[in-house]
Amino acid sequence: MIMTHIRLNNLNLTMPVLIGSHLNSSDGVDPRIHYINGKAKSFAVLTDINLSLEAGDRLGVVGSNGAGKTTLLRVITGIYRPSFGDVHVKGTVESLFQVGLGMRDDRSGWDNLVLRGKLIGLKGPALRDYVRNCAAFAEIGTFIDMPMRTYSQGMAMRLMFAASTEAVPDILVLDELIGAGDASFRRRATERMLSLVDRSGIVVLSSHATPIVRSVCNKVLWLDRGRVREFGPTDVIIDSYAKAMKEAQTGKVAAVPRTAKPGSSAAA
Amino acid sequence: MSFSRSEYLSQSNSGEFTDAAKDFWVGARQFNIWWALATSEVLQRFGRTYLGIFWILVSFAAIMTVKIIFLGGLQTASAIEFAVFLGIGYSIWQFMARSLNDGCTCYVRSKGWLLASRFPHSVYIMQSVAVAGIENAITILPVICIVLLFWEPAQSQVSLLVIPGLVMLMINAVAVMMYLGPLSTRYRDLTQFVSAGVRVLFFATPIIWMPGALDVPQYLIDWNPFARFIEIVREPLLYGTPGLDNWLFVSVFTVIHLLVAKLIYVRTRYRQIHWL
Repeated sequence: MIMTHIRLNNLNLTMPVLIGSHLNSSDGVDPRIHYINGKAKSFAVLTDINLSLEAGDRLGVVGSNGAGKTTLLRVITGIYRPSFGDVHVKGTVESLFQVGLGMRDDRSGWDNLVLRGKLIGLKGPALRDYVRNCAAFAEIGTFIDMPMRTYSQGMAMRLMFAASTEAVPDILVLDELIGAGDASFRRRATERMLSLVDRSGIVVLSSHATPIVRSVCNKVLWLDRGRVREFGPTDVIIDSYAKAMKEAQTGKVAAVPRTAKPGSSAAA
Repeated sequence: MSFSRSEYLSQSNSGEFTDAAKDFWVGARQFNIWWALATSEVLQRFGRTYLGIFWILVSFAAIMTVKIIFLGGLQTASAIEFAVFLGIGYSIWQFMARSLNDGCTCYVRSKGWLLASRFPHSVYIMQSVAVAGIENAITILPVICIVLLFWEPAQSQVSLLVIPGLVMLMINAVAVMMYLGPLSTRYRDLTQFVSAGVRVLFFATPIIWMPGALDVPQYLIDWNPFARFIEIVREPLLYGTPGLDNWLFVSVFTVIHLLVAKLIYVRTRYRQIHWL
């Protein structure tokens, strides 16, 4: 049996721009956008990503907005297929992009948990245990039998958080480390999240919060405009990332250098 | 929510069509998942109503009554025969119309799921077909039972043809969604086009008028697949005849339909995610 792993070989992902708009911006074009006759046709979101992770690895993905972090997470989950290169992911994957997904607000919390359980493939006693454990963790008392539309936002969040973090996958994919609820619940939520991280084979965590990445991850991938800028041990990469961010803030280095002129990148 | 039990994901820029075909069967077999999604969608839609899903039956009965009163006189057949004709035709039509309209939105409605989970896309197709099936079974099944009980020509073994007839309708509903789903996600005009087309075709199909009562050229009925699909269920029940010509048409149509559906499904499977 092959151990849990993630391998990305020369991964490229280009997305079509369905409603191509004419160029109005005067400060040059982003070389990742492909123009045909002055209209944006496609956008290279990820370029030449190589990555290999084994069981036990905790990868932090950092980078500014639009660097391709979420897209990379979706490729690993299997939502996007590479335009070029290949992806091999061995193991069950759980991706927490949207904890509240699929919530039916006229149904009770209990019914929603049963639906969640069925969707992750549980049945019989395993399904019953799943629902009981989630309900117990969420601690919303008798509200579990009330329609979810009567819940406060915090209560709904607690329940959905519990439902999303109950089962332990081989590979856990997180877009920001989620927490939920009031102060006391937040502490328990963080503990549960960290315990889930501990028990998962591989964790991929995309985050803007460098302290969290530092405490959780052993490796960091720094994405910059769809390319790997740096990859290596957490401390080294986070230090250099933090330095670059600080420089960008103080204006020493432009965050997005734009050199190409309109039209010249048409073949990019 | 995006836990996926499929344990090995291997994707590259080649082998796209083979992967897509495999992915279709994996999803189609995940009955527990698409059935759970479908039933929760139906329950949510009729949540907080007293009659629940039986509203569909109430509205169907009301429309039937009005149509029999106002259109029955226009027919040459007896009022009872027209009622049987209309009841079967209209309930089957609603299933086909529903499949076409929902087919256009089966991915757009599930955008959140598509962007956050690794379920095979055929799960959303099966979900939509199941929803259309549940919501129309509530009119189709009582109509067939009433006809079997009270309409003498239906009381023969020929009526067993209704079962493969309904299966054919389900298969074609899956096929319709396999191509309308992705194409209308890419070309949003298609949803409007289909919805307008369905309304027009309702009048062009023998549902509220009986062939023979109006001076309609026969080829307009013969080449109308909707009329043929209604007839494979209606003819055995209404006249006790199997209608082999209808079955021949429907069988050939279904084979071609499935081939087209597969062709479009495998070509769009990994692209439609960017069209949402």
